[in-house]
Amino acid sequence: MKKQNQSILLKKSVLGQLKSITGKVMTAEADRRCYAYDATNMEYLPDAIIFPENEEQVSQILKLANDAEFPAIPRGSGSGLTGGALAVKGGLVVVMTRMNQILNIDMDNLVADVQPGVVTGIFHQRVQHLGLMYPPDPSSSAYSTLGGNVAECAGGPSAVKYGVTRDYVLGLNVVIPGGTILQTGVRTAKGVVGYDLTRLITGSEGTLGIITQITLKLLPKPKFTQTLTVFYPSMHQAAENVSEIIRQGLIPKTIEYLDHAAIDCMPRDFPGGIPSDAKAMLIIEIDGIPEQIDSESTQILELAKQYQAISTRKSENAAESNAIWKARKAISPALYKYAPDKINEDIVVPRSLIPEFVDKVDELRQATGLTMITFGHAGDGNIHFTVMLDKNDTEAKKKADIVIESIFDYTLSLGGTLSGEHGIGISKAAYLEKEINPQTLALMRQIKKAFDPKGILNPGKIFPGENS
Amino acid sequence: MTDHNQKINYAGKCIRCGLCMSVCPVYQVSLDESDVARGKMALLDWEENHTRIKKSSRFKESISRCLLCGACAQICPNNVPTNICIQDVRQRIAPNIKEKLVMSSINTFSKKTRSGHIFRKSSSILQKCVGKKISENSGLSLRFPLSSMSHRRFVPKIQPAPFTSQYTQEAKSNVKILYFTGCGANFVYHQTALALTDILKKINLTPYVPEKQMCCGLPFYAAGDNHHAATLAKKNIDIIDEISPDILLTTCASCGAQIHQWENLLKNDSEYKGRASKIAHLQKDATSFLLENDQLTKNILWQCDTVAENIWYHHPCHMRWGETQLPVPKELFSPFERVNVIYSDNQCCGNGGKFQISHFDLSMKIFDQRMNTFKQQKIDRVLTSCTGCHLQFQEGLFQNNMNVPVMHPLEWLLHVTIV
Repeated sequence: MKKQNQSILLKKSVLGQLKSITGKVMTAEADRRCYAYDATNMEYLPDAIIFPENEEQVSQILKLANDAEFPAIPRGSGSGLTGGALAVKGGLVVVMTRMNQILNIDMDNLVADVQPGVVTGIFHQRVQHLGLMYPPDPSSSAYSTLGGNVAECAGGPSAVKYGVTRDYVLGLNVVIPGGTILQTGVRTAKGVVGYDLTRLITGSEGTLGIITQITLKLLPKPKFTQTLTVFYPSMHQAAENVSEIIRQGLIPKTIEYLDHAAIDCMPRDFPGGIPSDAKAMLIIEIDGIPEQIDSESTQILELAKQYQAISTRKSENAAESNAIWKARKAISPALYKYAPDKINEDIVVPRSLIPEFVDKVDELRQATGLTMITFGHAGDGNIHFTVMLDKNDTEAKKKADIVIESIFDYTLSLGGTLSGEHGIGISKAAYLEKEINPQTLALMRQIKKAFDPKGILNPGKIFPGENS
Repeated sequence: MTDHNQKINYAGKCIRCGLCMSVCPVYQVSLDESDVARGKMALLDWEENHTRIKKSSRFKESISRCLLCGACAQICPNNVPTNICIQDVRQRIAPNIKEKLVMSSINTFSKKTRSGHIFRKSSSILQKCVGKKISENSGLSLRFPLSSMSHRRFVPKIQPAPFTSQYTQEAKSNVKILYFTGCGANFVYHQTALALTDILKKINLTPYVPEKQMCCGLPFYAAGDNHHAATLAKKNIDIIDEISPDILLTTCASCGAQIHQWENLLKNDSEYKGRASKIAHLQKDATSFLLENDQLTKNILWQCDTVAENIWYHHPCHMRWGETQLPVPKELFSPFERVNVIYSDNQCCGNGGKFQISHFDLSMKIFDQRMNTFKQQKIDRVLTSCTGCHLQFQEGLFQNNMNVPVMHPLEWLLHVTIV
């Protein structure tokens, strides 16, 4: 998995110029090692690391990168899951964490201006304190940055009701290769002037420009939240129930689902206990005003009975809800009890087709004997499909590769997509052509060229065949 | 050799998810990956294949920039014992870290300023005195000569004689209690030791306080000097076993935690390993012990009252993480309606023993993160039950030109019962 890249792309004179921009450039091997990885646990050694502190410095860095033609790789907290922050072709890692100011929170217009290095969780706390809400909540929010969230278009469990990062980005300041500073979007609820570059750059994985300022939309924080937990005798019934909830016109804040293997990873002191014959579980969260919450939760629990729910529970207080979410977040890491390595995909299928997808996973599990776990954001059809294996077991690895390929094919045949919130990066580039037709892909390459004619910004990402 | 291999496996288990970034006190002020656990684990992974890295100054710097607070190990989804990995590598490169520490003190010492001269002179006198008062085997001996070399540092008042030499056990009680004072209460904070013994007296308990008890060894262990830490542990085990107590009380969270490390330190010593394990089971934080005593809480404490005051409570890392995990002792304050306790300080104070000396500015930056909230609150006193945290708050408040008393919760409790 670990690749070495010892090429020295940055000449001494270039390093000197970089140093004159920010005052410090790291080139010691120990430092380069610490910026060689991200949450994919793959390693590509960069040549140098720089920490810009303002937009002007970012502009100067990208001008120099363009003139001297060396790769520049923007990086937030390095918590991405597809390699977006990796220096796959060496070069300069541009770390944005020191641009971490919340510039302004406009309570009258529910708009905030932030720098890209602000940690998402810190921003959540700040706006909540003001009675507001910024809904995107990737599971890494305690350490990921807003800039990284925008670049990857991060999601989270409440997308079913509140959408994902792109639904909250109103405008951006972006520095493109050559050093030009763009201002995209608006500060208003509406805006149709010119092409929507804000939406283009959101989710572009740092390949079009480096984000230096973000204007975010905020919402008033709902007054109350109710958490429901429901256990089912089969995954199929849980999945059918999700579809029915949506069909009935109920839109909870969150519908998380867990299969049998995922339930086994939860702590034993789970509120209300875990029935021994439970094969699937839903965690449903409703927010709003008390009357509406009451009527919706009654409706949902009635529906659950129709789908043979073994047990249902309304959490009694905030402490109980917190315990439920803590248990839910403990699953992903606890999966390592099954095997030392994890392959994790975040495919999305149309919500109504989740039961079909679940059946397909069962079929593949039986055919291969591999340990497969599915859990995730059922409310929006985003399923975290996980295979646990020992990568040294070549037989299992081969089987897993085939499984992933067929899961992707099946997802697309259902009208789904290969990634809901993790991005393409280098992990999924090889599969991009499965989903995007050649004409569309060709236009995407032209767009990349228009922003970055020399290909210096985050090279080797998204497009297949470029990471050699 | 097996130990070495084990260490590599630990570091190799890190999956670089980055969750440690959300809790690391050092990373949160420096925002530098080489300061956070996953960066250090990447460096240890690399060291496995490249021995020359040990000579790299950036590597040594990175390894030295850790408070060993244990927050990362606690939160790690893959259960990598990151703090043990760091301690382990410190052990292997210990001479270098020590060298750095000596250098940093010499740098302060040799500043060619007029005040530098005065303080060189005065500190050498002080050092002589201090040297006599604090045993060389005490972790504090590592700290005080250094801290007294600069006029910009807070210098705690060293007591004329150790507490253990002044204490006499007046009567014997049914429960055999041994009080392990730790160097803080023994050499500097006598008021903490007195508070415990006085409160115990109120419920007719008199502890054994062996005069020969040694430093718990944590400062040496944290610096990677396992040999010295193990020697101290053995001496302490002999002294403790001589009394064979039913319970061993500590007033310093760090000593309490270190007592639980003795078994690990002596794992290859068939004679002492088992004895260390038994002693670890006897260890109990003095405040928790007292709060469990109905006679004390119902009949004495909760009958008392106190003036209205704002208390800043700091929970030491050595109580928040690891084997000695204890909740914030809210029941200590709950009966006192007029006392307003601020519990929000749930971040490492930045002391980390010698870390504060070798990385003073960084340590103060970590401390200062709480100062905005602190300054808004009109705090009357700070309570914390760890010598390191105690020193750090005194130093940090001194640096911020704030005169707020810092004390052990038991000292406050005694004060309340007297009022």
